[in-house]
Amino acid sequence: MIVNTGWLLDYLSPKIPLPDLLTALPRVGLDVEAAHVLSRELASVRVGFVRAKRPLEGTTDKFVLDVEVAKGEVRQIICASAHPIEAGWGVPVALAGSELPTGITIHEEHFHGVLSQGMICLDGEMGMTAKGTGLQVFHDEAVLGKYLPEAMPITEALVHMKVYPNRPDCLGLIGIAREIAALLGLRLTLPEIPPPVAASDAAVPVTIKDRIGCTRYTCQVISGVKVEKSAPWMASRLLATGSRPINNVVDITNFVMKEWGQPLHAFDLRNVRKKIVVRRFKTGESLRLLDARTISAAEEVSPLAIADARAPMALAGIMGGEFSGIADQTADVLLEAAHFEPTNIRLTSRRLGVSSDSSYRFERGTDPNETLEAARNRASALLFSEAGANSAGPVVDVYPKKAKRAVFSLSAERVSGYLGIPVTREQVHASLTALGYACSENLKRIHVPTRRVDATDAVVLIEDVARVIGYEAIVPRAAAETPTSGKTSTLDTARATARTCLTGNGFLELRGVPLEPLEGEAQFSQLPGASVVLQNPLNTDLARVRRSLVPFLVKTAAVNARRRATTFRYFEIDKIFSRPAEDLAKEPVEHWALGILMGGAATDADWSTRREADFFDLKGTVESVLEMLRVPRPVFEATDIDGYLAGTAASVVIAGERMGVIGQIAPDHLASRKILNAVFAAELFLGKLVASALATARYEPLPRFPGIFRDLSFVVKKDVAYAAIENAIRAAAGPYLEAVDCIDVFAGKGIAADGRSMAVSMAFRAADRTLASEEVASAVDQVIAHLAKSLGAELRG
Amino acid sequence: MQPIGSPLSDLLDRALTQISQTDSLAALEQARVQYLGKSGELTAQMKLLGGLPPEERKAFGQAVNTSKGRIEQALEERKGAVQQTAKPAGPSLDVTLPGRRRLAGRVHPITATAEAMKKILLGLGFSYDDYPDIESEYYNFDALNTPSWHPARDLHDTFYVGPGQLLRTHTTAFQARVMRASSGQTPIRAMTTGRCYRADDIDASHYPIFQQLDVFAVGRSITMADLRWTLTELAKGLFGPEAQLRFRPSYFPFTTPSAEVDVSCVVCRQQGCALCSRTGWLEVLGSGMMRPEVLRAGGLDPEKHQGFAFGIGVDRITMLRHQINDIRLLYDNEEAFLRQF
Repeated sequence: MIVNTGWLLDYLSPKIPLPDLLTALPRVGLDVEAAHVLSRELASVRVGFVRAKRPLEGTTDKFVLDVEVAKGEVRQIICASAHPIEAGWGVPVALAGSELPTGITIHEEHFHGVLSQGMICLDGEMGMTAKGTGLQVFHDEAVLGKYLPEAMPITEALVHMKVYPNRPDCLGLIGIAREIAALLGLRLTLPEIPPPVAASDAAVPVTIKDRIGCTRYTCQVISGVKVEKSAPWMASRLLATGSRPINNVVDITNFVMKEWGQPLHAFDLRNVRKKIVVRRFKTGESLRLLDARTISAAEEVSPLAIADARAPMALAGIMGGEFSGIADQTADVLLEAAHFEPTNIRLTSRRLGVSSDSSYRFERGTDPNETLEAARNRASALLFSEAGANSAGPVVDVYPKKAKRAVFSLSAERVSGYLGIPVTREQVHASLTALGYACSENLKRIHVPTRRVDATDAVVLIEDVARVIGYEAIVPRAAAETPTSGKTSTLDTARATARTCLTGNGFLELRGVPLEPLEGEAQFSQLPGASVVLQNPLNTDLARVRRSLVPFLVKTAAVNARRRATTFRYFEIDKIFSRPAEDLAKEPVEHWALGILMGGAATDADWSTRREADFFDLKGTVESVLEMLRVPRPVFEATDIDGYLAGTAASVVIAGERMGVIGQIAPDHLASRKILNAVFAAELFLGKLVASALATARYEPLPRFPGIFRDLSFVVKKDVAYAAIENAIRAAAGPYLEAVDCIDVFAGKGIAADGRSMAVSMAFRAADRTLASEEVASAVDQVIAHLAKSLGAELRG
Repeated sequence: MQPIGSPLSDLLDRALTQISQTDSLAALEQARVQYLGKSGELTAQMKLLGGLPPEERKAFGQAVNTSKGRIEQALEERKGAVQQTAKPAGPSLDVTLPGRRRLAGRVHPITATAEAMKKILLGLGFSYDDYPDIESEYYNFDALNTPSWHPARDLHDTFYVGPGQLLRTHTTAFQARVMRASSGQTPIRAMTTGRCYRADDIDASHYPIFQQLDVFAVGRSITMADLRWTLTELAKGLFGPEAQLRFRPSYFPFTTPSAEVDVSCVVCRQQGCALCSRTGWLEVLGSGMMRPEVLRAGGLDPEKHQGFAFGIGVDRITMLRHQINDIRLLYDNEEAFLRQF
């Protein structure tokens, strides 16, 4: 909402300086999004003197003005005749390239082929309220070329305010003024509303068919208006606050809405046939709205209409129909002030995609009582004073079930116990009274004004007291509540462990984007089922919740490859998602995952032994992480997953359960991203790993007797996996085998083309004695025999 | 003792001088062999013993032994000294060459910030856990006093993934889950952090995905002053002991009273700078006392219980801590950026 502070101060007494007003607004709970102080921002406007005026050829309402904007500097400005301008006058001029506080930007433009280099600014266009004719006119040539704030005092500001959805009563200036008055101890000065000078008996009967949608409908016939332009004081206020003046009758309804927050509507009485019926659209009915859109009855819930005896004239609370509005010849006006149920307005507005300043207010909730009546009476009075009305009929008021004021009880102790500071009964009483609550002395009965639609319980009253006292009075103090010990989850601890391990190994943690484009469905993903797809994506790049962390890791490698990175070591810990089946009713499943990517040089700083990282560098990293997480030793089983190079991927299996995958990224994923190195990735289910973590370690006695170490070197066929060899050794070596390690693998010269040579080191030890070398020798013989028999291994020299 | 000038005495002097001038273990060993080895000079003197008259043998033998002892002692002492200044064998080392290593890894600044806040709050008695990213409308909105007709739902542009299934718009969705899990036991002090999603277009200060940290405390005597105390401790822990807080009235459907909280500008210390738009204050979080509807959704009786809650944009705090001016940097993950933290 845009507020002109000069207009706002109309309702406060005494008037306070602008800086005080600006600091008060946020303290009241009105969020100031931008404050345009006019004396500062109108420095782009200067006083120019009109030296010549001639009609713009081919038009009847535009003039070409020669305006001297500085001594000897004349600009040509095309001016529409919104306000009379005469040669010799000094007027505010905004030259092309400047911007006014109201957001109007001025450009060089051609009208009928004639160049216009600026704009003559009306008060409202500059964001100011008008006191005279709506255009500042200077006759003293001494101000020629001066900036407007130097030529005249300007004390107003335009404030863009966010009124929170709970406070629709502040969607009118009087509501805002009331809050400020309470906070600063000022007096609220409401506009005077004289009763109509002449009464008639003209009236239109009203029937409310939908009593849920419309709780109160009042209307009044005002006769004898003359439709013309609004007076400058009113037009400037509308212009300054973002509304285009239309004519005096429509402007009055808009002005009063901005003043009281109560939307009003004016029908031309000629178009109202016999009566007003508040009802739903009937099948087959349609209505062309003021904004030229046509709406019609809907299948499920028809919109609420203000109809006459024959057809809908307005979309209730949202927008009037095109034909029933005010025309230049309108003489008699039917003025509507009503209350509509907020949810219905909101849903209708949403469904039809039609909204307005009226629907914005109605859907948040308006006051069906005092505010509605005051606004109607104010508009009625203005129709007399500003639109020449000569008589008013009786108010027709259909209000089947009057909204009652809520009543609450609130003790000072409760306020103190809630806020945590001592608050007295007197403070509570004074604060609430200042905001318009009617309070009994003992605070047992506090009546809430019906405009306060948010005050549905006593805690709202506590907030009101706190606001009036000032939030700064709430000083920090720890509660006298039982202490609790802060604990975290095992998963959280595991994340920290993984981070420590990986950063210690030189990996950078990434923060990825969990939404991704739709292409590449299920690539890299180990999750079965379907992807989780957004039903209302923002764009095609963020259309699906990711099913694997790997694509983002690869993407990041590409980003950094473009920045000439030659080493990639990244990880990310985040959730991955899938749906067990395409069926949307099946709840999606979330898994915590750890994604790791490695590629390029094995070390960053290495001037001697440059080496590219390979599968086993990443496998070692994965093993380190698993060791830190204290999970049982994993088994790596060859597998095939889309996205990884065939033959390079392995499942990480612990106790028969797949805990993740590791492999080399298929080169086609990299080539398109200009990554030339081999890149490897792993993705582990962190949540499952945590669940399989070992219990707290139990001490095992240290070995007290010496171990005996034997190395074996043999040749096997290439397709014999190391794991098979190790298993065979373990199976055959007897009870004293302590450890087996692979110490060399070689293929090539001297080895058959389909074979490879492998060397292992074995450690033997007994817990209770020193082993005899014969015992070890016999164990080694058994190993050799078993390897030969089961795997065809041939012992080398 | 042999008189000065005797062959044994000369030998001893020569040996001691030579030993004192050695500068390597090898030279020392050479000296040992020269004097004390099998065919060493002193050993040779000892061999003379048998040819001496019996009355001289004892004195000479003693003199040789004394000399041997002194040479051994000198060798030992010199060994210690030489070892201290020993030069390595082989080529000399250019110790200024870079170490062979991987550059140290880094934790992402968002994680670092979230962890810093978690650590402070754990110390204040708040327990941590994770909650779903894919939430029900119930926990994300209804349980937070934001039913479908509520205008406050306009404040959120929500991503839906299925009927009633959405990507949480705030981590505040965890409140009712925590309260229900506690089955009416209070006090509860709980926190969570995680991804939140809103259909915002991307610009320097908006991203459709962001991280929040949400915290609440419920008990019988939790107050707004306690909220302020907790936030003050958090701000001081995060921004330093001179950090100041300012509370402004605000609105959230799930709190009353609601307060927007500003922290004194971390850059200019309230002198006024571009970061704080010359106001001296930075908007950092929303907070308030939990509404009765929210307590009820969590299975607690609002007549007996009251509590505070606050939610912080972790991305925003991260940006403030490190004076990062574009939120996109946080999600671009360029190494040149990540290595700064």
